[in-house]
Amino acid sequence: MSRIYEIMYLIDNDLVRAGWSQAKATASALVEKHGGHVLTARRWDERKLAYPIHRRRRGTYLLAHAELEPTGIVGLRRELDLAEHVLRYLILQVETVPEEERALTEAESAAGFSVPPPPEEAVHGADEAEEPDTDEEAEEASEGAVPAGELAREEV
Amino acid sequence: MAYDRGDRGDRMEAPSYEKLRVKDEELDYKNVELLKKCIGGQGQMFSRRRTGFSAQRQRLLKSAIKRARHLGLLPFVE
Repeated sequence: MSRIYEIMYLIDNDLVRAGWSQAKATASALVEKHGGHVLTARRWDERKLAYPIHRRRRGTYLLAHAELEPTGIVGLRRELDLAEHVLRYLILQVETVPEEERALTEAESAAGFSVPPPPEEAVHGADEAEEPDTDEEAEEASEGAVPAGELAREEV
Repeated sequence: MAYDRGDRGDRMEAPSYEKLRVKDEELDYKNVELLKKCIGGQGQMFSRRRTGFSAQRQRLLKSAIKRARHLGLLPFVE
């Protein structure tokens, strides 16, 4: 008996810069591979992380819902653990898919949708020693996280 | 003005906080704005005494915060 799951992925910005739809497709493919049927998938946010994860300070969140057999979960987790560009994931079981998610997913597949490329950050791995807090504040001021939902734009 | 506190003597009173005014929004790990109000300056979770939540709601808060921390949305320590 299939169940509905909510999956939140934290994806490395490098993969996102290469192309958002590819990134989304990669994630969805993993779910399908384990017998899942993807119901929604959308960019939730790109933001500064509360603490460095895998030496990165920013990341993009992908929120998806899928219908999946419980037996497929084990395999999916294994796959996600091994995936290089998936920094974190969270799988939860839910009763139903919220309406807004379906709508927002639609908006993403509509033509003309574009995702701003994630801001560059200092080279990872070179931190820890240097980078006083003041640098981070300058970074904060020059960008602003795009609120989820206001993403559809024309490309000029 | 000192007066005789009798048996209470040196016992100190517990600090009193203003409880959080948090509406009945859903406690979800995704609701970072709400969650941020429920943690302190160093990232620690507030007790029920501080949040004013019912036992059930506080449990939901606890798991929401822990999930958010796992996903890098909230800090473990600041």
